Amino acid sequence: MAVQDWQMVIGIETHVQLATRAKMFSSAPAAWCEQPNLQANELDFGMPGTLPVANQAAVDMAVRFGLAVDARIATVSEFARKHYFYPDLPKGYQISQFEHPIINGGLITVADDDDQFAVRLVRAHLEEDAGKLTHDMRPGKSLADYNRAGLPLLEIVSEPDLRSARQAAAYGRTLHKLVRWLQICDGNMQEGSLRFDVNVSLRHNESDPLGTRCEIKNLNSFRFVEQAIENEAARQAQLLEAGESIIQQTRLFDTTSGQTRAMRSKEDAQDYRYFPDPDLLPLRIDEQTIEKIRRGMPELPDACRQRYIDQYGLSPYDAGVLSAERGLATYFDEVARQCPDAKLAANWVAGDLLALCNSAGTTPAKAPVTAAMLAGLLSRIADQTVSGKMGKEILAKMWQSQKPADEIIEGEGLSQISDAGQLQEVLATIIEKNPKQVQQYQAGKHKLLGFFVGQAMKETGGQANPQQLNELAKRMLDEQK
Amino acid sequence: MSLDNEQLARLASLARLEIDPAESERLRTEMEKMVELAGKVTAAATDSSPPIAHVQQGDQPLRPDDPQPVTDNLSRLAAEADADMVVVPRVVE
Repeated sequence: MAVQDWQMVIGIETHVQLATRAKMFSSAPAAWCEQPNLQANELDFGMPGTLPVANQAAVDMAVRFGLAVDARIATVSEFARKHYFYPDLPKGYQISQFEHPIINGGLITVADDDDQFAVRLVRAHLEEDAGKLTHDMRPGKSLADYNRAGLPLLEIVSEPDLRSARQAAAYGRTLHKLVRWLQICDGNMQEGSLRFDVNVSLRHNESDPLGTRCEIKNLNSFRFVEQAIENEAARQAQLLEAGESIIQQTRLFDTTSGQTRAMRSKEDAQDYRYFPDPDLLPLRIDEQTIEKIRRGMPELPDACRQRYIDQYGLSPYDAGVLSAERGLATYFDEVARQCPDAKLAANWVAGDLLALCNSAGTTPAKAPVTAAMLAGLLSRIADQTVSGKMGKEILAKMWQSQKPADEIIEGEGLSQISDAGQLQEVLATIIEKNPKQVQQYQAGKHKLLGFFVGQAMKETGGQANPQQLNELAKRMLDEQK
Repeated sequence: MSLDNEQLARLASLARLEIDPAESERLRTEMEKMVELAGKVTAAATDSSPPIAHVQQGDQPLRPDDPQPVTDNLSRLAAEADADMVVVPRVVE
């Protein structure tokens, strides 16, 4: 037997760093700061006599997430102390939520190529982050920086509904997209804005009871999630097939070796001694507040993708590309609203505009060519003032100069020549100058049509309406017979 | 309920407290009284009362998301600081 003879059962806890300006319970700034301990105040240092007060924005963001996943929002939830001794936690406890979290239940629908599946959520709760320790600067010592201590986190706990490493990574990507779309997290994985703890166990069949699980902590990329699960499942399969049992434990993923190693086992697992935090009164959110947040919710990514298919007739692939990020979708919506041809808008936004953004390292929202400017150019392509090919050159000029399309077209005389008389004149001269080619064309070498069209394009500086030129050239050559 | 010296030492160890032997008898007696008080609380009939998270009535006030700059690096108050960070005993192998 091998790992493929087993069914993986995976549940994921995701720590989402909420995009607030101040911390969860203190007023220290939440922004990244290179200078150690300059974003940490008395509260973050755990000084006696300080009192935490919850941040309104973090609570609102948690509610926004709950509404997006169709969860139950607790009108009363509680903050609890989770105790452990470690120097990254100066108070000796982390303020979290235990028995009564702010978000209960919910469902995430994941679409991964042809595979679509739903993952049930157990809960999501608010808590504060710990500080950061550096171990390699002084022999025998660790150094503590509390800038990160107290940053607001939303811990999202899934049911063990995932059945493969690939599904787990797809779930992670869907969550990543959703929290960015909701603008509750910057989604910066490298800086740890989204971190995954993955629980893995094996069994033979869906109907079998759950096996003993191991938790792999602190994975900060989708690739690591996938690798860690594959390796952990292979390790467990090997043990089970050798007749050994799995010890429930917390493991760490070594990104260099690609293996997981034991961190601590259940026997010495910590008793966190949770109890309601006496410094914090129950968190009450009334229905009116929830309703107000609901009214301010954006259209969600799945609904947006479906609308692009239904409203604009886009392919599922194009609709997926354009709804991959909220900023891109907003940009596209604006172009499509002002442009007479939505499919043309889709092609240009997903193609040329995104390519320019990528090479300049920017986003559509910050692009020098605004949605209105791109719509202006596309209107000129749609009414055949300029060809698509010329449009690309004009877009590049717009990107450089931030001038509207019409100004560039007029200023540089780039309007497409659609005057039949003018084009006929150009073609007549070319036909006259190239009797040999005319003869060959008339003898049946019809691909020479391209030669005449090419010559005429050259003559007009690329401004001839290509479709019209093609038709005219064919007609005039046929008439020569 | 009585509390012996061994239990006191274990509690002190859990709380990471160092207790002066000269003070241990006084502390032990005081703690015995606290445990006795807790015993009285647990003896109260609460079957008909819903559990509460806080003894005070009221709700958690919320703070606007308005960051206040930190001007003082508090690592200076630590027993030992280095490169603006707090120095602690090494916690990994």
